[in-house]
Parts: sequence; C-alpha cells; structure tokens
Amino acid sequence: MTARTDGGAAAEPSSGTGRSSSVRRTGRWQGVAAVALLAVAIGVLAKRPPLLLVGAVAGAYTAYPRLTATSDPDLSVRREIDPASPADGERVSVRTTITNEGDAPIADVRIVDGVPAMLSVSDGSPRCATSLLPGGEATISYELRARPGRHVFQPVTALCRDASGSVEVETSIAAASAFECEAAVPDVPLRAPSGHHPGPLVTDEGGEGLEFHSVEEYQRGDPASRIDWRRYARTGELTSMTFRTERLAEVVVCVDARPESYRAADATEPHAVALAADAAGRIGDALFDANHRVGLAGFGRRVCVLPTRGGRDHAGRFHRRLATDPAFGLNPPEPARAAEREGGGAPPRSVTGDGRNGDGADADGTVSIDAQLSRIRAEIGADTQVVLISPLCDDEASRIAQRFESGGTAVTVVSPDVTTAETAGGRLARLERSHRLSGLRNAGVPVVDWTPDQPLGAAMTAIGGRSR
Amino acid sequence: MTAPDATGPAATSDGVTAPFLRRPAVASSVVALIAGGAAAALVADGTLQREILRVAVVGVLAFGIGTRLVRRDGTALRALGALVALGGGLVVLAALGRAATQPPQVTQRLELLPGIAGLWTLSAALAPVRFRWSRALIDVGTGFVFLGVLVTGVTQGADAIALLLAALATILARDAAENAVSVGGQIGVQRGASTARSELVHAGAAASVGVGAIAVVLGVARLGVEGLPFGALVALVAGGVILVFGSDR
Repeated sequence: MTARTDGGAAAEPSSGTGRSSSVRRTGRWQGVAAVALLAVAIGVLAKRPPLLLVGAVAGAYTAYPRLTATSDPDLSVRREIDPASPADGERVSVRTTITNEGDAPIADVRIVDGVPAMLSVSDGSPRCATSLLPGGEATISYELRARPGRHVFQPVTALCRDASGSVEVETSIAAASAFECEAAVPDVPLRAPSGHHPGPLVTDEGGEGLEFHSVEEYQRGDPASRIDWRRYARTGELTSMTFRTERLAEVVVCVDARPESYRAADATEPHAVALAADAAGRIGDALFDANHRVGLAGFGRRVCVLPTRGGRDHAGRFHRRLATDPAFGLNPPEPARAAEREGGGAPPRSVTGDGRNGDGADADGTVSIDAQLSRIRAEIGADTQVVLISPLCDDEASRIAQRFESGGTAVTVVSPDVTTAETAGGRLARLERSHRLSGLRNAGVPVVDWTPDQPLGAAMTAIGGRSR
Repeated sequence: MTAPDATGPAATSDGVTAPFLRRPAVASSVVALIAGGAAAALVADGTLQREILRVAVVGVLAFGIGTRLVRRDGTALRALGALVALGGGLVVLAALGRAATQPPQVTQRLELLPGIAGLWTLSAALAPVRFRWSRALIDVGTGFVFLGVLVTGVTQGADAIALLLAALATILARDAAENAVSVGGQIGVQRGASTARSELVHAGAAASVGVGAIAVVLGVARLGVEGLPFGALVALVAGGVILVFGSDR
C-alpha cells in the first residue's frame, strides 16, 4: 500500500509517505454459529426439518466472513486548504479527497481526517464512511476556525472493512499539509526579579533606564546627567533622579504534559497539552522578539529541558524542540485512548508516524514527576523565572507551581481553561480549578486564566499591566 | 436581569461547533427495523396476529423516533419527542397485552409475543436509549425475534420458505443494527458525516449472501431430501455446521 499526497491548490507539497496499519478481527459473525447450532438442536429434538434448514442458512453466515477476503487497501489522500494563510478566527475550508488506488473495491471505508490538534471543526464533519470502487474517490469537506499559529494536519486514519465487516484494517495515511495563521504576539507578563544583564524587562528597581522611577538624595558618584538641576535651582538640594532599571529576563517556558493534563472540554476540542504547546510557542516568540533569553522545559511522560539562551538560532531550536520532543507529544497517553475507544470503538484522534515510544524509557521507564522537576530546576539558573503552562486539572499542578515558587524561582502560571459547564462533573472540575487559581494567587503566583476561545494576548494583558 | 435565565439547556459556547454525535447510524437502523419487522410479520401470519403486529410496529416506530428526538437540542423538540416516545411505548404495551390475551391458541400468542418484545428492544437500542447499552440491547432484541422464529418452527405455524426468510431477516436485522452502532461510534451522525453508502453496501452484501444461501438450501431440499431418513438430514446439516465451525474465523 502506498500513500501519496498531491499538494492541492493551497496545500504545501507532500512530505513522505509514512503509513502504518493494523488488522483487527471484529468477530461480529461469531454469534451466528451459536444461532445455527441452536436452530439445528431444536430442529433435531422437535423433529422439524424446516428448523434444520434455518440452521443451514445461519451456518452459511458463519462462512460469510471467509467469502470476503480483505485486500490490502491502497489509498491516497489529497487535501485542499482554502485560504492558505487565514486571519485569526477566519473559517478555513478543507477538502480532503481519498482515492482507492488499488484494484479491488473496498466495501466499507471509514475515514477520519487528521484535524490539526489545535483547531476545532466549525462546520461539517472530518469523518465519513463510504465504499470505494477501484479508482473511486470520496471527499470530506469541512470548515475549521483558524487560530493563530502554524497548524500541521495529522495523518488520515482509514478503517477499511470487508463486506462482512469481520476484518478491519486500520491504516494511517500521512498527507502532510499545513497552514499558518498570523499570530498576534502576546505581551508576556514577566515578574520583576530577574538577571543582571541590561535588557528590555522594566523592573521596579531604580537605576539607569528610560522610565522615571524616583528622586533620591544625591550621593557621591551619581552621574551629573541624572542630577535634578531644576530642583537644585529651586531649593539648593542636590538630588538625582533614578529611572526604572531595564533588565534582561531569563525565562523558561515550562509545559505541563502529564497524562492528567490531556483533557479536553469536548471530543472535538483540542486537549490542554496541545493548547499548552501552542501557547508555549507563541510566548516563546514574544519573548524572543523582546530579546529575552528563553528556555524550554516540559515534564510528564518524559522530561525535556532546553537551557535559556537568546538569539535567532536558539529560537529555531526552541520551536524544533517544541514540535518534536516526545515530552510534548500530542498523542494522549494509552489509558485515555482506551477510554476514547470504549463504546463504539472510535478511532484515536491522532496517529503519529513514529507510533509508540520507541526507545528505552517508556511506560515503566518513566521518571517520577518529582525527579523530572528536580532535573528541570537543576538545569535552570538562579535568576531564571518560569512561565508554567498547565490546565490545572489536578492539585498536583498547583503544587508544582508552588514548588517552583518556594524554591525561589518566580513563577507565572498560564492556564488554558478546558473545563466545561455542560455536565455536572465538568462543573465540579471548573469549580475545583477556580479554587486552585485563587489558591495560587493567594500564594503570590500570578495566574493567567486563558479561555482558549479568546486570544492569548488579551488574557495576558489582563494581568500583565505592570510589566514591560 | 439576564442572569437567572441560565436554567435552559447549557449554553453552547458559540453555537457553531458541531460536536461529535455518537448514535447508531440512521440508514442501517432503518434497515434493521424493517428487517426485524419483516421477520416478525413472516412468522405471525394469522389475520389477528398481523393486525396486532401492525399496531405494535406503529408503536415501536413512534417510540424509536420519539426517543431519538429527545436526544436532540431544543426544548420544544425534546418535549415533543418525550410525548411521542411515551405514546409509542403505551401503544406497544397495549399490543403486547392484546398479543398475550386475544389470539385463540396459545401457540399463536407465543409466536407473536417475542417478536413484538424484540422489535421494541431493537428500537430502544437504535434510538438509542443509551449508546453504551446498544450492542447488548441489539443482541437481546434480535434474540427475541429469533425466539419467535424458533417457536414458529416448532409449532409449524408457517411454511418452510416463510420460516427461512424470517430467519434471514432476523440475521440481517442483527447485522444492520450492529453495523449502525459500529458506524455511529466511529463516524457519528453529526451533520456532514455521510455514511449511508457504506451502510447500504454492507446490508446489501449481507442480504445477497442470505438469498444465495436460501436458494441453495431450498434447492437441496427440493432434490428430495424428504425421502432421506431424518437422521441422514441431521447428520448432513450438523456436519456442515461443524465444518464451518472448524474454520478459524
């Protein structure tokens, strides 16, 4: 089987033909054998020939799955995205066309398009089920509401069943396309104490700078340019003006990617880790633009630390790590996926090419959260402050923030709100989260409560008036 | 002034996002109910039985459609759906009562009762009353319908062809209903998710297999197997079933 991608009118050119497939037996015709035997048994006991014939018809259905052999499905995917670079909030229409490239018809193919993790579908549905003759095409069209950032489509998941439905072949077809939406750069509220290098962060300390801070009594050694000559002329006192010192901030953007954080308000909404990774990228951009020194950290199933540094190269490194490091994996952990599968056996929302954690430390090898945090804290410097992005879905999250704070690291928490008011459980979760928010605020940790429908910048400026 | 107005259904955040609706798919559900109804009608061939069954089918459909409406958005639709479902349920109960008392012979009652109960359960599974219960309810419902077929086979209340067709219709109902749940769970029934084509292809393939099987079975029966000793016929069919069973799928 191959997977091809043709760049549609506005899509980016294809990047590779990654695919993975798994075969599942549904066993949906197994019960019919029992029915056949029952009919035959009753027919024998009651000496009723027509019931034997019923048993024979039911028996034919036990052979039915063997009549319909599944061929190896050969599908290709083409995707058209319009417009290619939408504005924030604009509707993006997506047309994904799946073609049966094989020689055999596929009786039942169920297709779930890999909607970018950060976007929600606003009209239509990215799912469809159809049957495809050789060379036949099926088109799914739907609309997404654009959010700032770069959005990469995930592989298309196709579930191909034979006519009897007894064998289900799940394949994911990589069709790399992406679009970009101009991001309004958020104004990141940083906390005052920071490094000693001059830089763009306006602090509350007096000293050199542009913005007036206070008037102090003249001390020997103060530069003459800062002496307030008018006051000297008026009163004869020598005073010198101080300005708010501008410092370079060292900031580590830290993403909470614990399995507990893979929560979403709704199955069609992006989960909190996807939101957090997106916010981390935009906060990073804003900080790099302001010439701060920025680092990246993530904890959860894996730990990832990128030390603070400035410069364009480092910004590239920051984004690469954010996009590729397994610590920020957008696939929900297995238990959550199992829960998603229950009931109707819904396919997982996303299937990445590299599959499960390939190298040494997987499920059993994961380090405890405390050890991961210790490692993050060991790698970041003393004057570094942390922007912790966490949905605050459990008490552990606010404990982590307070641990940073009590360890002397200034923390700002940015919390995407993924709670919902639709269900009783959701309302309870919302209440608990608001308690955690106020608990953190009482502990002196500034918290940005970010409702993902709103721009991140607005939520940031709501608390960030005093800085920059 | 607007604050106390929050008693209605929870405000959808912006009203544009179509959520993923996990319900049994419509086309297969309709096919399943038609097949189930046909199975019940084929074995209940008395005039009175047919009349009671017609009433029951109307009630079952009203129950299914009403329950489906209850799960929609909008208070008015929900209230209407609840009323329709309640009315349908009452009609079915009345039909069950009639089926249990009116037909003169006990065997006729036994042929009819499982069919009506099974159809009702099937419509409850496909409405659905609760999606998680759907598969179990489908098994129970089609099991009841099949029970009616078996009872008819024992009481010799219908000729062989009607019996075979009823068994076939029961199997098709089970297959289509299961497929409705499977498609509904994976693709959903939200606007824009088209599934009808694959569902109809699936049901059509299953039906053609059944028709072929019946043709073969009747052909064999016409060959004069009646002349064979009953034991030989038993051995033949049992051997065939074991052969099929012995295969690994």
